[in-house]
Amino acid sequence: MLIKLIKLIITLSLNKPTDPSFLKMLKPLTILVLLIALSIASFLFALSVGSLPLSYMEIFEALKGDGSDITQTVIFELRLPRAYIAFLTGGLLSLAGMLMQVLLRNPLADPYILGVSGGASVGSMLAISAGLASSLISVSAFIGALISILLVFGLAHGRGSWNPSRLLLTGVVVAAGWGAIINFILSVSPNQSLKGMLFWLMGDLSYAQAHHLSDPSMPVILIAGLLFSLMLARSLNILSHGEMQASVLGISIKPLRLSLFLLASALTATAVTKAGSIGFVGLIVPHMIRLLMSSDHRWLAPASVLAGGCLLLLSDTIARTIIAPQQLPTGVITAFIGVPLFLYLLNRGYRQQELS
Amino acid sequence: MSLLSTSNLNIHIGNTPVCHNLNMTCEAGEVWGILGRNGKGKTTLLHTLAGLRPAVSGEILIRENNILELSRKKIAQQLGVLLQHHEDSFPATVLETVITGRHPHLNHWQWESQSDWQCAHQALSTVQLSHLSKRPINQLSGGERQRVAIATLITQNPDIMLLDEPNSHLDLKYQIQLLNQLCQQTRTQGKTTIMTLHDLNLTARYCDKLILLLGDGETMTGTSKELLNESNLQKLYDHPISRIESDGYPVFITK
Repeated sequence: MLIKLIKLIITLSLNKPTDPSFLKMLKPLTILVLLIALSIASFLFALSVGSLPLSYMEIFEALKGDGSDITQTVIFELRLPRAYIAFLTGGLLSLAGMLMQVLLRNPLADPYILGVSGGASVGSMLAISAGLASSLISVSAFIGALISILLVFGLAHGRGSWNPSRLLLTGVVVAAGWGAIINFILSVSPNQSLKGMLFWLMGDLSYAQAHHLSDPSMPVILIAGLLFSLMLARSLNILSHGEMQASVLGISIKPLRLSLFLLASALTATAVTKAGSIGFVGLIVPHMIRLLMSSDHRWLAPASVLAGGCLLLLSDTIARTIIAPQQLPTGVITAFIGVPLFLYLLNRGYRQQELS
Repeated sequence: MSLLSTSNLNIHIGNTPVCHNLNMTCEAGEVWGILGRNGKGKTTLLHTLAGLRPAVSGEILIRENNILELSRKKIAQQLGVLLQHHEDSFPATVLETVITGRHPHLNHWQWESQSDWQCAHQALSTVQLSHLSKRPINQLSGGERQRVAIATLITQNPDIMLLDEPNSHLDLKYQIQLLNQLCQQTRTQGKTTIMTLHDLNLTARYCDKLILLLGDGETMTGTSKELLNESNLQKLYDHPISRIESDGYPVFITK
């Protein structure tokens, strides 16, 4: 992201403003800047609302290290960790969704459809029903995600033929299998662990704690994933025109395919492990950006990360405040916001196409 | 130095041989045609020459370098393919699609320069699509999509051009215009072009040399003047064809 922006600023300052390549960048660049502004606004909003409303002045003071103890506690122990996890999870899921969609060249592809979250869910539910500590639940979820990835990848690879529809079908069927196991665990579990499991299945950020702020795994994986996607971005643009055409234009398909799958899986596994099973973000955010901005992955990747982060952060803020003190699962709100927005954009996109 | 050559090339589709010990040498400035009936392996041969599928045995050399030892990127800098099928999963614009032709000439982090965009615009004006440059690719007609693919190839600017049925979906005007353009580029800029064709009249007009795929691995190579006679064509297409002369060009009519 940063490298990208610095490069852009250099390019822009070297080019005259009338330069056509500058004009090409103007629209996506504006949207990117707006998304950054929206991200900051979302953070401020998330920090200010709740059972103890805080003014922006109080937030700034607390962030500087001043302010009352209670403000400090509310921000650093409760709201900031939760906002931080929500934003990163949204970014991870959107980026993973974008990569999966190019990999399978299917607009419906999404980490969840490929069964990665199903595996993670089963892992975590087994840990919950065994009464393990929350850190072990994360480990168990991560292992579940990995098992699912290896299963889908291994089965779809089969005897060499590795085509997108076969991978998608394998993923869908494996996901259905996980769904059955989840239902089985739910039906045999004792009542006291049911609520925790259900929340986990619907996506839950309420456990976020201060120590997560110093845990580098999520931001490191997100930034590494984004940089890697940006490095491959031009190849991804070409991969949308099919593997044969990509080969013709000088891309080695097998390593690209493998790295896309592994990267998308690592991103998803990280997200699912921290935030439970929040579907849908990875499916709709990249499409929204495609409709609003550009199909060029050099813009799509950073914009998806920011927009996904904003969507999840806003959804989570609403989820914990709208019927406070009761909390809703974040996944419910993501769907409430995302579905109408996506349908509107899709409809608008089609209408524009018909007009042009 | 030949741009593209094969020695003792054997290609199979499943168990059916396409060519047996094919030896050919494409020199700079030459236009080659591949003729054969449906399913005899024209596209397979073209894809094998591009390194997109493995041969059973034999060698393919690009400028005397074995294609197996070249990276995809190195190949793409010298060799371009016009594919028969075009896939567009996500709605890129015409210009965004054409600029992908510059990919093999750029590094990972590099953005297209002014001159790359110029290449793309020029290619679009060659195929007369400048007015559609901002149109989403999935709204084009078949012929327009084919011209976008040709523009992408021109933007890639390879020395070796492999064209799989370049005329498909094109109307008469563009068939002639674009073949003129590509063949003229080949001759004046020292490139080489190999194309699969179904139209014998265009073959006679544009191709210097031919590869006839007769089936069961049997092939004939030579100049089009030598090969395009009635007995060869009867054997190739399993149908009688007569050859007459008109305006100095041979014309072929099915009986």
